[in-house]
Amino acid sequence: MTVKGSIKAVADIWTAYYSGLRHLFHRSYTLRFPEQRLVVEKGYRGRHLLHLDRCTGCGICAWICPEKCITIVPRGERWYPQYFYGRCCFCHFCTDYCPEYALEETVEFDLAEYTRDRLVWSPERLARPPAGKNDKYVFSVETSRGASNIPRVGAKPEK
Amino acid sequence: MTTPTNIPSLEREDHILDQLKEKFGDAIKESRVSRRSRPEVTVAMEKMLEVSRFLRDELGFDRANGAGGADYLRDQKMEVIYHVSNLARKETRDIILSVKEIIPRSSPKVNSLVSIWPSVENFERETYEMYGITFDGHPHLEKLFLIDNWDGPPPLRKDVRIPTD
Amino acid sequence: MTSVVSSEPSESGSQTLTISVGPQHSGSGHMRLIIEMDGDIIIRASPDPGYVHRGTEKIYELRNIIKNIPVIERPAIIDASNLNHAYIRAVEELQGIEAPPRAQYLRCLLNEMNRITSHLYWLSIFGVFLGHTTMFMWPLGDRELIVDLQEKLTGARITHSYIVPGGVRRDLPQGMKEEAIKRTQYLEKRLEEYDKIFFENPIFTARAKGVGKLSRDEAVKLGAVGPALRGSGVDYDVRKDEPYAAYPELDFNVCTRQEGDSYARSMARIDEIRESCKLIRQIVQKIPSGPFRRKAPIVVPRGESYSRVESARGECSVYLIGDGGDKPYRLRFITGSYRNMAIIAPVLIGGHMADMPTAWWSIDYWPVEADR
Repeated sequence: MTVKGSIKAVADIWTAYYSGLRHLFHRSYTLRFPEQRLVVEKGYRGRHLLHLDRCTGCGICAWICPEKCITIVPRGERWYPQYFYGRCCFCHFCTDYCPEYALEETVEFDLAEYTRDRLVWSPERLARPPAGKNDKYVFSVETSRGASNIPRVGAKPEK
Repeated sequence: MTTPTNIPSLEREDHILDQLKEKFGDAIKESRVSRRSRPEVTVAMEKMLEVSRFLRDELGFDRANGAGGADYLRDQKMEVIYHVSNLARKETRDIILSVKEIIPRSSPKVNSLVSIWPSVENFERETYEMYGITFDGHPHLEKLFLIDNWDGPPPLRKDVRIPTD
Repeated sequence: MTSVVSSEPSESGSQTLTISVGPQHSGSGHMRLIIEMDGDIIIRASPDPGYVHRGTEKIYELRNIIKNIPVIERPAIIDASNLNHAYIRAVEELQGIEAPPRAQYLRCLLNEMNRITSHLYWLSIFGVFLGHTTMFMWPLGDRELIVDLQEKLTGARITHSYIVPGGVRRDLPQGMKEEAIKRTQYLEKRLEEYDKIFFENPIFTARAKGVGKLSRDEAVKLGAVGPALRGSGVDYDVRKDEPYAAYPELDFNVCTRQEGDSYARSMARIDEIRESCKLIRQIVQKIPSGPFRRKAPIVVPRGESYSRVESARGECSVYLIGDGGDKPYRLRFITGSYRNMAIIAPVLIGGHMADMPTAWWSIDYWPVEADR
């Protein structure tokens, strides 16, 4: 390798180091979940919310489900869907195809349980509104300083 | 009366099929143009190598897009379908010709087209293991995706049922 | 990860060593490479796929066309909407319907975002293969910008299931246009920083230039597609040769490089990320108004249709035979990685064993997509 080539190679390696080290002093976009949570906007495909007064028990949701996780179970005279979240892929075709608009998407995504039978959600459990969480960080991009997570305007300070 | 302008003209596709029918006559069992840029032709099994050589050398179809099989259990026949297109001339790159051959289900053996389009090698291997169709002249006809000691029937045939819950 | 399978004498009298690389790799999916070496030079290589084969072509015949959508997406889940688009175009051709113009633009928008996220993921795994940890972390972090945009549009980060027969499932939300423009401009700035730490880094250029050469004739003869073909100088791109959806009205270039080695294939992908950023900005500014979904039946009429799109790894094609019911009679699905399986051996042969990660990963062979 020529002398000029070697000098250029060393200079390029130092450029690489400098470019990486500059980022030590930028804001990072790492959040300490679960104490700091990112705001999940409405329309996110989380678990389903069932409106018991609108459901007629027609079974279209069970027919269209690609993973066959919905069973229609009787409650007195009416029939309601029961979900098994162990196989659900959260595609929400059931929400789209319900003719009575009885199913809705919620932003609840942390559904982990310790035993498998707790993953079967009965119609009553599906009808409960989503649990409120302390999410207040918003992912924001500023072209000059970079991307980071910043607190939403009006958020309370964390303890 | 003005002719409607949104019906595409199918001249290029018709011209290809006319040239094939003129050269090979009876060996072309069926041919049609189902929609724009998609001519289809069914060729007798014995003449498949000659027709393919003609397609590559005279008509310029120098690239094979894919190959696959289909099983028609009710009619006791299977089909091997090749899709070919051309790469050298930019204006006709959108045409894809389907070349099919019909083989009897009881003795599925055909000639391999690897000597004409080298890119169909892996596709023919997969068709062999999934349907049981043997390709004469293929350099390595052995299992591609299935596990090495699979001894059951070829899985994609229609009489093989897989359990669904 | 490697194990000695056998060792035999070669023609010149010295012994050759056959080793098996895989099926667990330090980054990609499961696939085995059987490599025969004479000293340090690879003289024969053959891929042994099938470790992730799930028989999806049989599964497609058992489910109706809406239930097939999540299964079609799963082979290359980070590039899900391109595969989805190929399947839905085949279904719509058979049914004889066409999606409205706003839906075509939205489909192209999601396709380009998926292309960017797939290429950034490839770049970060390239960092893993070569031991450059910063190059592993940075693209994955910057990929979050685009994945977040995808979540705003469809509701799910990568498992979209967004394209259905007749159109798309949701409309463009408020505020997405400004966010898309801001984020793609930021991403283009970041690509210049990647140039400094990785692509002009003399360590990477020494490892990648001249390695894994694939000549133009060989690439065309073996049927390569995608950036692996465009890195050898052939300008074959389905978006320009058989334009579909909104691509006839959009303005972009096909990115090719002439040398045919690993460096050229990698740079062809980085150029594609820049082109996709420009395309996203064009789409959100030019999108027409109107309906975004038309009614379509859940039926596959009698007939056959063939459709293809340009996915991140190459040309993905769907051949659909229908018999009048609601399930496909036969669905033949050939993805970009499956076509590129043929060029793994020519790229590796003749090189050193230490060049294997660079040469192999520059093809972007995704084992799950090839096995389906």
